[in-house]
Formats: sequence, structure tokens, C-alpha cells
Amino acid sequence: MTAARAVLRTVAVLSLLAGTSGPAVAAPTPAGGAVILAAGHADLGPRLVDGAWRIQVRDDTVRPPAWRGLDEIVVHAADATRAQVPATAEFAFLGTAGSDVWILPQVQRPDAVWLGWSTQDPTVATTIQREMTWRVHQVTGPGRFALFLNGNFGAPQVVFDSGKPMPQDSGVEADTHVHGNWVFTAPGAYRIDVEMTAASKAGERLSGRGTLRVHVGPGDPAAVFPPAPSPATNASTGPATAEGTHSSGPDRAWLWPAIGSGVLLALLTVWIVRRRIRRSEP
Amino acid sequence: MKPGRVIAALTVLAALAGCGAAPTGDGVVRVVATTEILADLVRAVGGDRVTVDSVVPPGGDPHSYEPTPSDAKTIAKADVTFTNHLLLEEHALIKAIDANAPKDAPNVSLAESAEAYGAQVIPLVENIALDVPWVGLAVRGSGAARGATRASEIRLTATRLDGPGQLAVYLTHALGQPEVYVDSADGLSTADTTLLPPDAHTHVNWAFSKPGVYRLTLSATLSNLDGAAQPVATGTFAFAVGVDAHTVAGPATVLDRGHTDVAVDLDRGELYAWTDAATPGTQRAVPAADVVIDVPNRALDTVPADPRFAFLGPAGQSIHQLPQAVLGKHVHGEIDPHLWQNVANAKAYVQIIRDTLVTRDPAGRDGYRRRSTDYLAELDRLDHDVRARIAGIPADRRQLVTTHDGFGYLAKAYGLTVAGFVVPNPAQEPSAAQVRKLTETITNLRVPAVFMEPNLSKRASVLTQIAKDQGIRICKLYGDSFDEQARHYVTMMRHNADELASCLGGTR
Repeated sequence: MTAARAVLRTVAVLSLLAGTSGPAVAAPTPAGGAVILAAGHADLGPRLVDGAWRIQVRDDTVRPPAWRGLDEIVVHAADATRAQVPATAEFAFLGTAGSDVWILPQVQRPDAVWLGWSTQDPTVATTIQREMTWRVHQVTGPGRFALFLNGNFGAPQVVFDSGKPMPQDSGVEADTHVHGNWVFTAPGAYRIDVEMTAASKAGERLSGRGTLRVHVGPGDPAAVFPPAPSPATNASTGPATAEGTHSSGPDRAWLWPAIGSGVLLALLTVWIVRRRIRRSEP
Repeated sequence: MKPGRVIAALTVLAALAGCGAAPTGDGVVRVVATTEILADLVRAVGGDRVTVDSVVPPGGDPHSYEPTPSDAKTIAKADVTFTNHLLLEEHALIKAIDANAPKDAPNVSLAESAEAYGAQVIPLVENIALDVPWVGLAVRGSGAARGATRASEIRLTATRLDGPGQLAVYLTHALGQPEVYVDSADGLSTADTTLLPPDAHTHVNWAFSKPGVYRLTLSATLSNLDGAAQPVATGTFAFAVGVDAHTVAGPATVLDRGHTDVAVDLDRGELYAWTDAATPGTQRAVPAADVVIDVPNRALDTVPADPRFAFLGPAGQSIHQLPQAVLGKHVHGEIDPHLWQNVANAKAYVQIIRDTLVTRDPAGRDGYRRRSTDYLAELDRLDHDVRARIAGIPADRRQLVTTHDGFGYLAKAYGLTVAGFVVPNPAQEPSAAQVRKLTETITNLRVPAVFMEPNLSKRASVLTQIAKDQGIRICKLYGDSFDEQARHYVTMMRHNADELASCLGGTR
């Protein structure tokens, strides 16, 4: 994604959101220790839990796999995941050549969390329309966060980059499971405010939002994330609507009867500029 | 959009109409549609009760048509306007409609409303090189009966490769470093082994140096902590590289989409394809011997100059490569706008047009309903005939090479393969690499004909030249517009089916 496209996508998102209600937020994180995930396979994804769409993490390091609320886990990118930015232009977005980065890689390695994302939970895979929108609203932490995939011959395809304006969007098709490289440029505690939104086949808007917590480098992840209220993290022990919204609002109602409204005109402009840019890309 | 919402919107408009903003003239509704094809569908439903203008003139290209001041005047008098989709029509055209159409005139985007009427929508493909099977490696089963534990190792070794060229199976690590698992160029040995833990699942690149059919034999062994390696399974997988997978002999299941793992099953003692290709949403096991993995010409790429990738061959050489990651093939949230190339989708358009006209002009309801019922029946016959005509083409010849990416719906609905096109959007100019890729595609598949859209013939010099060089036919397919030979949607679709049958059918 070029910088220009990221920005335009952001604008489009803002326009789209105008007039729709945001997700419910802010229930206190319960006291008690979070599960620290430091190695093994896990997937981030939505599920329908007690009638509410929630983002959870499927922890495959235990048998049987456990679904955990975002406030119940901390992902740890231990020092073993440290690497150095290569001296090639295509990776310059990670920093200067030779500087340290911590990577939870796209492919499995025994000493790192293998963190993917998925729309394959049975309550999701066949119940949503074509595609889910995965939005990152905000990232806080001591360094930069980027999520990218390796294209042909390793070229990075950036999904999210905290060095660019937020929010940012990516599409995840229904019933897919994808892995990418989660990169952090400095040790310490990161909070990634994520939202996953889709339309059900019946046209309902499904949306869940929460904060993924990642601790990078040395130190005790449990100590870094004390059990305290966290602005965008919602309690799985709270009311069923605390994290997920399951509203029956119109999915794409703005597409038609809203003709003439400023929202649509803004969207037209944005889409067309995006189209032009895509045309001009190789 | 929810149907309820549509109805609500229409009800509001109906109320407006009832308040004196009745359609102009003697019960005649003025309709403006952006393209001739949409105008034709409106005429079929509206009959004499409507006057329909198409903004894009006969033979014009909606991707590039710029509206004139007189178009603006026509639009300003419209009682109803129909557009297709933002990504089809030139932006100036959409803007002209939105800026000039009366505020109380329904302004309907057919493609965007069609899903609620049962249309099958295809996401817009951004990178066709990623619209290929996604093939990984996996270890399945606990292996408990063989004494496997979490500390066990499974070795997957390539023992034999039959085919016209070389195969490299490799992984590219996060920061661009390749790790080669199998490289047949220096012969196959125990070095051509992938080490996998139990429950492993990984994705790799599969690079083939020449087009043709390959058969790869793999052998899997299990090593537990006690050290002794025990054989688990062997199996041979076929790959159709750049050639039509249907030409591969044997009782083959063609894996040409979705996600497949070459899987070692420790419990069953088998190597098989674990795939969702035929059954989206569910993976199932297909024995290795029954599988042909399709490596289409969309997967053509060029070996980079980076010395780390020299194992793939000399820089600049063409290879067919299934990539390790396929995310990003679709443009987020956007759809392919050419819905009408599937007749079932045109039926959805007709129903939207009917409901819109009934709402705008309730007095004409009976006529709109009668004509749409008749026309929908005609479209059913059309759909049946197009399907039957294309089904008569031998499966390995149902290959579509066109000027632009406008036939995804035709291909998906009627069992054709989009083998290639010059450029995704007709407003683009092809690069040298795109021309080379298309030429190789036509050669590899021995495509008997290429197809040109009449409205794009002026820009089709690239395709014309390639066809001349290869000595193959140039045929005509209608895409976004009519010409003097086809003035109606039904005529156009019948022509397309007949042309495909006559240009692709028969034997080589």
C-alpha cells in the first residue's frame, strides 16, 4: 500500500463511519493474571459469543484450543525474535539498516508466537458477507508497529503501519486464515486498538473492538500490563454487549437513498481518486 | 443494502410522486441510464411507458466517456436515473448524473443494489498473480500410535521429479531471506528435505522453470526421540504448469483455487492433498494420486536480479510460481462491475428496474410487472442457451484471452477460465512485462483465439499484434457496449456464446 492510498483509505473510512454508531467501549479489565503467550500458534479473529461479536484469540498452545478475550492474554515477542533491518530499500520502512526489530514471523518457528488472523470460526465463516473489515484505530507503544506479508521474492506487502495516519483498514475474506509478520521497532509495551466489522448475510452490521496487548523484549509481560482499566479493552465478564455490537443497522444503506448527501459525494471523490491511483500503479 | 431499507426509500419517493411531482408527459417516464446495456434493460421493462436515454453513445466506452453539456440537460429532465457502478463508468459521468438529476428522481446504482436481489458478486481482483491456488505443507494426526510426541520430527523429502523443467520449493523469511527446501536443479537427494514438527502448517513458494506437467514424488518419515526414522508414507502429486489441468491424464481432481496443503497424515500413514478447493469452507483429503495442482499462467513471474534468488535460474528468466502468501489479491470492499455478463445478474437488474419504475410511476405497475415477467422468462431461456453453447466447447479450450478484465462473471457463471488480458482496465497501457506474460500464456495454453471488444478495437493493437504473431484468430466479444450488429442485451449475449463456441470449439 502506498502512503497515498493509506491516507485515502483512512478518509474513506471516516466518511463511512459518519452517522453510524460506534461500538460500545470501556468496561474495567478484571483483576487477575493474563495468560502470557510466548510461543506457539494463535489466531486473532471474531466470534459470536452469547449473541455478541467479539474479537478473541484462539490459543492453540493448549489442548483443546482455548478462545481467550483480548484482556485475558498478553502476547510476548521475546528477545529471541530480535533481528536487524536489512540494507534493502524495500525494508527501509522498518528503520535504518542494522537497527533492531522484533518480529513475530509469518512462518512458524519454535521460539516465537505464530500469530495469525482468521475468519474461520464456525459462527463467522459462513455467516458473513464476502469480506470482513479489520481496522486498527490506534497503536501506543515505545516504537513503531507494522504488520506485513512477504510477497513474491520477499517483497513486503504492508497491512498496517503505525508510522502512517490512523485508522487503517484491511480486508479479510470470509472463511480465511492468514499469517503475517508482526514487527516492533523498540522493546516495551504496545497496545493495538483493533476493530473487526462485517455484514451478516441478513444485512446486520457486526462489529467488535478491543485492544491487543503485546510485550516486546526483556521484562515480565505480566508486570508490564497491570490489571487496570484499559480504555479500549472490554471485559469478557461484562454484559454481553460490552465488547461486541450486534446492531441491526443498515449495512450499505448509504449507497443508494443517500444520494445527494455530502457523505456520498465525499465517498465518490475518494473512491475515484483511489481508482486513479490504482490504475497508475504497476 | 437491506431490502427493507430499499422499500422504505422507494416509499418516500412514491409519496413525493403522489404529491404532484408526477412523471412528465402523458404518463411517460423519462429515464436516463449511463450505458446502452442498462438502457436496453430499462426499455424491456418500461416498454412504451418510458423514454430512455443512454448517456454513453452507441459504441462508446463507459470507462472513458466524458459527458457533454447536452447530456447534462437530458439528465436534468430525468424522472429516474440508472448507473451501474463507480468502477465502470468514468467519474465525470457519475458526477454529471449526481449533479444534474432532479433531487426527487431515484438515482439507482444497479450493481450495488443487485446483491439484495440475489446477484452473485465477484470481489475486484487487484493482483491476478495472487489469484492462484495457495499451497502449503502440513503434518496432520497425532502420530500417537507411532510413538510421536511434540519433540518428534517429520522429514518430507522430494525423491523424484518428472517434468520438462526444474522445481524449487522455498520459503522467504520475514526480511526477505529465502530458505530452500527442494531444488531439483542440482539433482534430488536427502538434502531436498523439509523438517516439520507435529501439527506443522507452513506456506511455501513453488517455482517451476518451464511450462508443462510435473509429477513430484515425496516421501515422509517420522523420527521420535529414540532416534530411529520410520517411514510414514510416499505419494506423487501432479502439477499442471501453464497448461490446462484438464489435459493431465488420470482420474484427476483439479485444484485450481483455494487453500491446499501437501499433508503428511501420521495416523493414516498417508500423503494427501488437504484442500478446500472444491468445497469452500471445508477442507477434505484427496489422495495424492488423484490430484492435479493447477499452476496457471497468471502465476508467471520473472527471476529477480537479487543473487539470493539465483537458485531459481538466471535473472530475467520466466518462471511459474505459486506464492507463499495470497492476501491482497482483492481490492478491499470493491467489486468487479461487469455483473451483466452473468445472465442471472441481469435478472437481478431487471427486478430492481421494475421495482424502481413501479415506485416512480405506480399507475404503470401492471405493465411493468407484465413486461418484466415476460423478459425474465426470456432471460431464463438465454441463460440456458448460453450455458449449453459454452458447455459444448471442450473443457481444455474454454480459455478466455481479452483486451480488458471484463469477463470474470461470464467465466465464473459458464465455466470458462480467464487465461489472460492485456490490461485490467482499458484506460491503462500495457507494460512490456504484461505483453510478454500474455504472449507466453497464449503459447503455453495453445489458445486458438483471442477476443476483442468492439468498443476497444482502437486500443487493441497489442492483442492484434500478438494474435498475428501467433497465427491465431481474433474474435469479437461484447463487453460494456453494443455496436451496429447487436443493439440488445439478449442479442449481445447470444453473439458472445456463439462466438465462443465457434472460435474455441472444435479440435486443434
